[in-house]
Amino acid sequence: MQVRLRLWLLGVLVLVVASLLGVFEPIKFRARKDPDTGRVVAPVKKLGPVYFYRPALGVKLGLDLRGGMHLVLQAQDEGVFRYTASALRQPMSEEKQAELFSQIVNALPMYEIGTEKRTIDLDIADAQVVVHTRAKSKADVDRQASKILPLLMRVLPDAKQAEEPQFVAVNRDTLDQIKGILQNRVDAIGVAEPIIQTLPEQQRVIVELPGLKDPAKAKEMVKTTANLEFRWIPKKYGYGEHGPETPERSGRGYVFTDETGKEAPVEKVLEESRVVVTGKDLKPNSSRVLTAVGQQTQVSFEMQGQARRTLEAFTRKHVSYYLAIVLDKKLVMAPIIKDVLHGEGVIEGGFDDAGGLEEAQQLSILLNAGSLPFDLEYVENRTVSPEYGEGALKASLFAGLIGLAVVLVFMVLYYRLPGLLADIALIIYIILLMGAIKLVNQVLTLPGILAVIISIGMAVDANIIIFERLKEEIRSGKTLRSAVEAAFRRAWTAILDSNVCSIGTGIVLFMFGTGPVKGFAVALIIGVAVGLFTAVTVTRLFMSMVMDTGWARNTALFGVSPKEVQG
Amino acid sequence: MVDLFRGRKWDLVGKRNWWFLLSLLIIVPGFAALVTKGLNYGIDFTGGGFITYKLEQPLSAREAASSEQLAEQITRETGVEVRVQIAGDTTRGDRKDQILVRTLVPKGASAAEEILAEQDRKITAVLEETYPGIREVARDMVSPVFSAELMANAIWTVVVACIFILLWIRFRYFDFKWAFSGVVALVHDVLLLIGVFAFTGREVNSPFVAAVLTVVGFSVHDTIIIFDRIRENLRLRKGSTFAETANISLLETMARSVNTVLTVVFVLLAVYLLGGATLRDFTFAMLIGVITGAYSSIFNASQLLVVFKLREERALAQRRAAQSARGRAVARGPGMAPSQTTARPRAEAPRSAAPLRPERASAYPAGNGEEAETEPATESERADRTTHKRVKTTGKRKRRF
Repeated sequence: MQVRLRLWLLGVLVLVVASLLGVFEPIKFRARKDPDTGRVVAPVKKLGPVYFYRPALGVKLGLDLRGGMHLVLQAQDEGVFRYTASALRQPMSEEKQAELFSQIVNALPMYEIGTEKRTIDLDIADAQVVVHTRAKSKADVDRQASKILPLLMRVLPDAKQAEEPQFVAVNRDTLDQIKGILQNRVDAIGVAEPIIQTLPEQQRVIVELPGLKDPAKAKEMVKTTANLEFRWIPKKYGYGEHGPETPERSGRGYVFTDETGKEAPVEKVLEESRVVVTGKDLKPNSSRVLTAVGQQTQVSFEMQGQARRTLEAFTRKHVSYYLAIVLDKKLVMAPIIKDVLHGEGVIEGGFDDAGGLEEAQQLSILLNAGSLPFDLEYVENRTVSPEYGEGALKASLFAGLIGLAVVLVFMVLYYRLPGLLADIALIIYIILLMGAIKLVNQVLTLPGILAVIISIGMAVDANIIIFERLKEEIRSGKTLRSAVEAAFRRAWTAILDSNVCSIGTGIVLFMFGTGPVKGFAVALIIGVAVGLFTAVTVTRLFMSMVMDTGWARNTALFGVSPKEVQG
Repeated sequence: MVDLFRGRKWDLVGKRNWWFLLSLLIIVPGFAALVTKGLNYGIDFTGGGFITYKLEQPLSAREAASSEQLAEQITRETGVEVRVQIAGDTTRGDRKDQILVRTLVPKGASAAEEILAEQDRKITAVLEETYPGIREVARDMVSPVFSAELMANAIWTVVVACIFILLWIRFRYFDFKWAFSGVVALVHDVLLLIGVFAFTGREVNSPFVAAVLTVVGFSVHDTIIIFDRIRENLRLRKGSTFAETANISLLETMARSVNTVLTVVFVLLAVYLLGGATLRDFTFAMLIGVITGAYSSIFNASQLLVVFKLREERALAQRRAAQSARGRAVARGPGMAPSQTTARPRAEAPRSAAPLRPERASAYPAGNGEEAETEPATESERADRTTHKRVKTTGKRKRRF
């Protein structure tokens, strides 16, 4: 018995220490990074591979506590219509183009087409008018097509369909494309730990940007149409003394050197570059990642329409130039033109180091997406300033501590010695709970903290059930040891049943809840589960330890006066 | 401290109709408010914007009380219909230094985000003029399309949770009467909570649904503790009627019920008073719900179970009387004998409300456990049961329920 008790005690201690180490992270094997800036924090001391830090809360905080922006973007199914007309094939001045464009826009009002949203593009290179509409099905698209053509013929009398109208449904792939583009943009804003998540069933993308200083700008950047371009870089850059090789890749991305061999900022290089073709010229969904044993990983791409010839003519004259792939004015990659590209080509090299395959896939997604392929709409936007979040964090922690203190005092006053033991168990519970939250990497939100605070109240419940039982058993004249045994055993079914129901409702809440409610549910489930463990195991352990001391004979310590005891 | 509930001989079960009446007295006005006033839905369920501003200087008491005038002023100057609430940081005295503005979007408006962003700009401009140095510190926007979905999810959540609980209690206890009584108590809590929110005009948002569900979990927790004790006492007190057993069980668990509610109320009160404006409505819902949850477990769920069981006992007595009468008739005419064997199961069938687990219905022909239990039953024998072996066999037996 003694050995078993000691083993249990050791087990609990190990759990507590592990939780404390996990939550406050005083010892780490990797350098700690600041969650807001992403910069490495200098350790207090470093011994070999071990870093020592001053304890700090290592649990991840939600956007509502550290400030930031939570966006939900909705993508919707589209109809795509392409028309051609003789007027479009004639050379036009810019003013004439603009005039024609506004005529077309005015000729196609949304209510006449029968859609909630439509965008119109004039594709001069292909001599086409491209109309995107919101549509629910192929039938919807056909119905809209029958309306658009007559309307368009008022402006362009000889307009005719250039292609069959298409129904483009948002699927997993398109959402991945959107995600890829958003990832790229968010990286450009410089957010430390962005989370971008797709919800294929609801055709949604969730974007979480912690610790933002300028939410309005970020919002604009996330939503505006992506602009993918292939640009050529003037010959003076990148050669220098390094010779005609790929610009050195470093942690900062590309480093170009000018003709004198000095480093040239990427922005300046891009400023002087010129557009060859754009994302719209890429054939949709034509890019692939090609891998073969013994060969370099390649990413293929293919142009469409006029752009095939444009690319061919350009590459004929510019072999050994850099062709920069630029997304939203940010350099993605700058491969060297090795040969004439007849409308299609592959990008290779640089994908063969660690993480290269992932990079290749990323690039392929970008090329497939071209410009942001779908019209996105915000359906949810929750923004909290860091200062406000910090206030909420402090207030809720303060409230939680006061609540905890009241519960601790109440338990000692009402249940005496067992109450004191339950209090210790409760503090262990809180430590283990934080450890568990850290272990499953749950982000702690304001509702999550509330769930933790509430679960403190609920965790005590199991102890109360047991102690009430214990009083009854002591009164019936049992020895303390058998009373404790009986109380724990008898209370067990009630505790188990009731906690299963609490966890069950928590799971339902998690399944149907969104955003903040999910965080609450997870914290509650973890809370109840850990509470079940500590209340039964830890309290019982302490009670068993007390049993071997002289206190066991004094029933008053257990809230039962000796007069009450039968027999 | 003393045990307030020890040795009390209150007759809780006898007054059950009063308890039902008391519940009705609270639910009915709430329901009336729900019908007449409706719920004050938050942006999660209607769509719209919710902007939090922080002032440099706290508002004076007079200004803090004039949120409606401020709302009118904003509507007048921007043309946007708004609701305004003044809140503050409670950790440093009662500083009223937050202005919460809620805007609405016309239903079915596409590009809701643009409309809301425009409203936001206008309102901020007006407030900046009135209160120099004001800053927007938080902003929530939900599109009406999304809000309809959140609403549907909220309703599903509560329905699915109730079904889960119904099945779980059914699985762990004797029959659906127990499960049904427990779920009625939950519905009682949910109705009451909705009623109180309709009555007080507090905002109903996604967190409210989370609060309702937590309350449901908490209430069923209470109910099960009591049911567990009734189940145990049914074995121990075979001579008693169900009503007596229930009453004793309620009294025995009363201290636990009250103490558990107290500890949870302690922490909730702390959060309600000190936890800041964001969580106030949520904590309020939890406070009300935890108290009614405990109430409904004692005064609704258990009492309803007693009502069901009394009816069952009465029906059983009648059937016995009828059967013994028929048995005499059969004894007289031997040609009727086969009908007796077939009549029995047929009479059994509608009583056992457990079509899913027929083996249980046959294990407890009376349908309420106490008849079939062969454990020692009288009060004096209770002490015997505490020897290890005894308790172990009961432990095994319990698992079978």
